Amino acid sequence: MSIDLSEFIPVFLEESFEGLDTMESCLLELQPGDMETINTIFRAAHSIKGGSGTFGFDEVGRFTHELETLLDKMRNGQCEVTPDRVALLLSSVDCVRSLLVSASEGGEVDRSQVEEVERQLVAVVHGDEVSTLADSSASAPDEGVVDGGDGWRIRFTPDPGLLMSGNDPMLLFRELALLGPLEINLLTDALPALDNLDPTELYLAWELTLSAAVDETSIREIFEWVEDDCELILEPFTAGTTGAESGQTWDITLRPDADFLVTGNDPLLLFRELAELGALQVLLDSENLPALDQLDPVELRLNWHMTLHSACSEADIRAVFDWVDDQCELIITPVGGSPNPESAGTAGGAQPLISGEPISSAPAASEATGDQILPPSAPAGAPKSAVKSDTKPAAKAPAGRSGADSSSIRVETGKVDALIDRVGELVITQAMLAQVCEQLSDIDHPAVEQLLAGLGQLERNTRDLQEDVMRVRMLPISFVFNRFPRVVHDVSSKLGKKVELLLKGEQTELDKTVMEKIGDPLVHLVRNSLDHGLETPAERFSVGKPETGQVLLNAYHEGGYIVIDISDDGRGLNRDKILGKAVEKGLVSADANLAPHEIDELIFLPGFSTADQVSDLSGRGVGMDVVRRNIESLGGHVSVHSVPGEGSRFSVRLPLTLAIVDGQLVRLGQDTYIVPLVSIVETIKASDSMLTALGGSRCLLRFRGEYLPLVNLRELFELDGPPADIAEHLIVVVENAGQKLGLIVDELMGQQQAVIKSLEVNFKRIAGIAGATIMGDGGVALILDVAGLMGVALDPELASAARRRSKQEGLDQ
Amino acid sequence: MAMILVVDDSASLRSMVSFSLKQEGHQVTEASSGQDGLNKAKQGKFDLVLTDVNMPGMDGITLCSELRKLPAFKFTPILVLTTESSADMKQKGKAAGATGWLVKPFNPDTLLSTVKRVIR
Repeated sequence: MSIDLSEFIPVFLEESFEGLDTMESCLLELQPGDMETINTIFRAAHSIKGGSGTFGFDEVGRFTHELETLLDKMRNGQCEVTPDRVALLLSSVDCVRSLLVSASEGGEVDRSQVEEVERQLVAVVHGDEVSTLADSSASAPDEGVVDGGDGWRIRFTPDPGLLMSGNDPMLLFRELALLGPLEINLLTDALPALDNLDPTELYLAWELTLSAAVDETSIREIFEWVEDDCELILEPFTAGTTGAESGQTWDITLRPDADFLVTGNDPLLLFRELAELGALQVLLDSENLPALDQLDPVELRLNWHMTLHSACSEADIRAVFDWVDDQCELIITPVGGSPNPESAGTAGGAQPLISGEPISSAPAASEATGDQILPPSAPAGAPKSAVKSDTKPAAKAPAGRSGADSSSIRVETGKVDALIDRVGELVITQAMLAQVCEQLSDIDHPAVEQLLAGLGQLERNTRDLQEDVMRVRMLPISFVFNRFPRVVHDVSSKLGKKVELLLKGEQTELDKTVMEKIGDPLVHLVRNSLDHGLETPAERFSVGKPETGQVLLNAYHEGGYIVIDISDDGRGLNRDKILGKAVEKGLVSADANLAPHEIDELIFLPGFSTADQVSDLSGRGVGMDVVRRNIESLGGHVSVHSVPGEGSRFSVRLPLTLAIVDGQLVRLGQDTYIVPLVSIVETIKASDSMLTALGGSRCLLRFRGEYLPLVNLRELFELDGPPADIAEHLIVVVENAGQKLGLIVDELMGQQQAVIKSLEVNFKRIAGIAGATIMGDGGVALILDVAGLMGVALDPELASAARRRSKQEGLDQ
Repeated sequence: MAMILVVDDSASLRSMVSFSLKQEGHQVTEASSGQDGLNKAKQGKFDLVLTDVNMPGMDGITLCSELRKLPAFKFTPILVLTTESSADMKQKGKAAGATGWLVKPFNPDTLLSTVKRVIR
């Protein structure tokens, strides 16, 4: 049968990535002698290796094998845990990760790096101790492989306790029979009398003749699971040696009645008698044998199939069974010619034992034996990867993960999103019902009252349901925070700084999508803190600070948002330097009079960099402006607070979810639009005196000491309607990336939460519009994307005019 | 058709194994840890137990010896799934009462042919 493994691959990958994360975090906290942690790391590597082989990621499997071998040596104490080796292991984790990513998603792997790491692993693993490898590879299969000639005579004498391992000689013989014609001869010499018999012990031995020219290894493999629990003698033979004396071959089948034994007869004794007539082979058929626990020891449930080669007559054979002929079914058939394994019915087919005619019989003793299970051998071909020698108890999984396993399920994100969507529809329907209901409220009818009460309940339940469903998408921010120990480890060692990373509020929950997108900006902020914020140990020492600097990541909820603070106890922002740089780059004028926090904010301007030299870490072309842009594209905001000499704190504020937005409803002509609350600075009613007209219809708004460009949304969206009366118009002041903008609207309506529907999926992408939502009355409202809007609507000339005027204003004061 | 208990902490391996066994018409009960496996073993009747060795908490070796203490499992075949097939490992498995082993990585065909060896 062929089974398609591909459907298990996503689960395997997910497990493996989790395993890699576990390895990474454990490696970062690994101390020499910490067996539990090493075991945990080992187990993760081990699982990845096992799965890789199974699911066809051979390259990953090969690489992980070396990795695992090193870990194995570490936990056995054969190999010390040194910082170099931990670093090597960390690089290996990276390699496995990138191999898995490229194997599953395509894409390039840095081969040279993987090979280099693999080379180092091999060097560490085998460099000090080549002998172990040689041992393990030599030990297994090829001890004295002898050519089998025409077949094998096998004497198999199991230990009495063999059955306790769940092995069954019959099953072993079945395996053997797959190799070729097999004759089985039961040896009962060691069988005690029935009353001395322990049914759990095996007293039997067998002589088997396998007429197949196979090599010794393939036979030994079948007995591999029991090789220590038995005596096994293999002897090759060539054709002719089995040949029998002249005479007749008889097939004899004995099916004793269940009560056969109560008469004191013993089949084994009968066989002994039979054997005196000639060469006898006995095949035990235990197919009718019930489970041991249902076994009545006084009943006989076995059958036998025998081949007798003898010059005797059928009558001679029947005479042996004389005493029991009313207690059994006896079939005696002559077979022509000399004994032939196939005609004996014991050989050939896949299931010779079972195909034999079942009879019930055998003393409890042989029943027990018949039932034993022999250890089958390991499958051929498998041993290659099986060099490990560990049997230590597996280490504990990191706390929390094991617990989560049992009480959580994995669900495709798509399903959750569909659910959220559906609940969104429900919310809209509910809002619509509520509106309809308002019109009913003055009707005096008991049913109306009930209806209203019911709708009230529906509203509460809907809201709860929505919250619950939203929470399904929420994950603790530890998923992102877990990356940071590694980041800090790598960066600080590169910079030669001593850093302690503190994590707080790791259980704070955040929408999965937001989480996925916030990782990189946070990494950049942390790198920034390490690179620019923290001093070198020497510098810190000279100003009386502990040599080890601290970086704190703290997440918490605040008013429907999640706030992530990245703070360090470093030198703080150097305002003189920032201002100097900003002036040099023409970002502000030399005479600008900026408040300290305004200077700090300059670092978020495009094209700003304060590093004296472009370091490996910050010189990647990603500036703070990109960080800010990324955060704002998530509907979030980033700000900085710094105290010279004491440190800086970056605060990232993010909406809990991208599926819902808190919005201000505004009217433009006949249509309703939604402005995300997070972007709104203020809404004001403008009077003439606040406006400064420029050429055409363009004008600036004077607002709290600065001039802002104004955009008439109705014009922008080319909506019909009477011309706007600017003098009495309502203006929504929005801000993005430090740029403020006034939006002229016709009317301010309420604020409400809107479930965001993608415009891209349902229609097409429109610059300046983030999406759409369905209102309670069934109407559609577009949600503005302030960042995009600025790109579309903000005339650079207007913006620079506003800046010029603002500066002028500043100067005047 | 047999009742088979599959114990593995790796969901992917576990589901692959049990899927393959079900394709052959076996009835499969899955357990995700040694302890889970032991609990389920106590609640049901099984013709065969397949267990991973390396598991957090109770490992497969301990599970073997625990199972052998149960009267119902005195003779039940127990196969350990492991990549660790050195003599030492086999020894420990055998000492704990394992019937045999299946070396990872294995494909479904290997799995099924090995299982056939211990299913009547």
